[in-house]
Amino acid sequence: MDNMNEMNQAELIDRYLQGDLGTQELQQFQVRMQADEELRQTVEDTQMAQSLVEHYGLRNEIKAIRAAMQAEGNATLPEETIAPVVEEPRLLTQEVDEDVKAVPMFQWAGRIAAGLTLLIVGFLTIQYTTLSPERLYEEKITSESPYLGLSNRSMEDREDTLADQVRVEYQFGNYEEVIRLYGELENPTFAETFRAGYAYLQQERTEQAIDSFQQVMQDEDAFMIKDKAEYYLALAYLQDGQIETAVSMLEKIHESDDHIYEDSLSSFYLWRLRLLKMKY
Amino acid sequence: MNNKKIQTSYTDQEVIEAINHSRDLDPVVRHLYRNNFESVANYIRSNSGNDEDAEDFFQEAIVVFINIVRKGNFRGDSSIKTFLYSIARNLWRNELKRQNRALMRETNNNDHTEKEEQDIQESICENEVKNQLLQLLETLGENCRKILLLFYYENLPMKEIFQRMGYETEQVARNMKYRCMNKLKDMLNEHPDMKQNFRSLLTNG
Repeated sequence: MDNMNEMNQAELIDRYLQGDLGTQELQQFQVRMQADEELRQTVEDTQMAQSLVEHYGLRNEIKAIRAAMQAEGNATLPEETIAPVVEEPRLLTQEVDEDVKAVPMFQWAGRIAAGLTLLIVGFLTIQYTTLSPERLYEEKITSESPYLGLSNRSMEDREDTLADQVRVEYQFGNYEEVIRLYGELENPTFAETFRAGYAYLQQERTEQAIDSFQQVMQDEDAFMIKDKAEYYLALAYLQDGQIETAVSMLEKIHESDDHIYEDSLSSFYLWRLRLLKMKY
Repeated sequence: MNNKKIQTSYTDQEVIEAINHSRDLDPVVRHLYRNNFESVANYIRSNSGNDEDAEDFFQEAIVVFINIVRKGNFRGDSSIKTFLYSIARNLWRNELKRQNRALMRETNNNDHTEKEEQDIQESICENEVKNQLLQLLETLGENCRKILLLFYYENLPMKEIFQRMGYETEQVARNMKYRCMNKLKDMLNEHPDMKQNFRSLLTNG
């Protein structure tokens, strides 16, 4: 069999395994398989190889989703980091020697309370002085572009190669290129506008980022990624120093049970946002 | 304004439908993590595992679960929570056996049928064989891996693949895919024992 025939046969096997053969074609193929051991073997080998590729793809997709969840959720300090402040006094009371035991309990309680107060005041002072919109923004933004969850397969029928390039450059984090290509698109969809918005955000072109995310939010067809646009619009406001607007949007997201970024905003982060609002 | 929002919470039936029919696994996988990760992680941590083990084995459990669902072997006799927990528990037990370690604390959570247990064991077995062969894809080369993933995993048509990969024509992409598939098959042939295991699993499955 020459190379072209082999390739045609390989494509026929693909179609057979994908269930794409018509009734007559399928019957003919099954008859051929019954009579041809070598063909049957090739079909089996192809099935194994395909199954391996699918397994690889699935594992990687799940890993990417989990990584995105962690990137969205872990940028903030875990709330447990405050715990040692409360734990400290217990250690003190466990390690007292005989002389110290003679000190009346209320004195110890007073010292512990004073120590605690100092620690809390110190902690609050550090938080307050180091808090800035930039710091809270940096904790939430990652260099990795958020997965849009809009399958590539939905673009099967599109011929707009510029849109494909925007998507690819976005996936690879080439944000300057995303912005350049986006500028060449005549009729960008909400997906490309979101990607451009994220690219603007990464390039600190905040006003354009805000404008892009607002456009996505207003697009009725963009309901699939509305939560993402809302979250990154809030971060864009934060980057822009529009603290009240950003805090109010992020609080709303935190309170909304079915918002996909609800879990990404810890109570500690929200508390620091409120502190930031007081500061500015 | 359209009030439809991206779905973030699912009933068991909706999870199955999304895995079988939705093109986007992102929201359903997030749902599975949100609702099941902690209980599985607690089990693993209570049985000599650490946080990293919990992450690895829960991820593996999701892969096994999705494969069971896609094969039509999840019958809904027990809840997804119970089923997923059972997969993770079996995976972790196998791991401890491999390390010659015993379970510290066993929870009695056998709310599933014997048939379900059998399906889980078979799928875990298949998963392990495939995992052993994954290194082949790692050594296949980036372009080959990419074109095979785009075609067989993403199910993209060749006319889109050749543009995305930057090939001049669709025919070039078809040739490339053909060569890469043959390369992968040759690599499989270099591991006859594993290939035989894989074949018997596919035949029985």
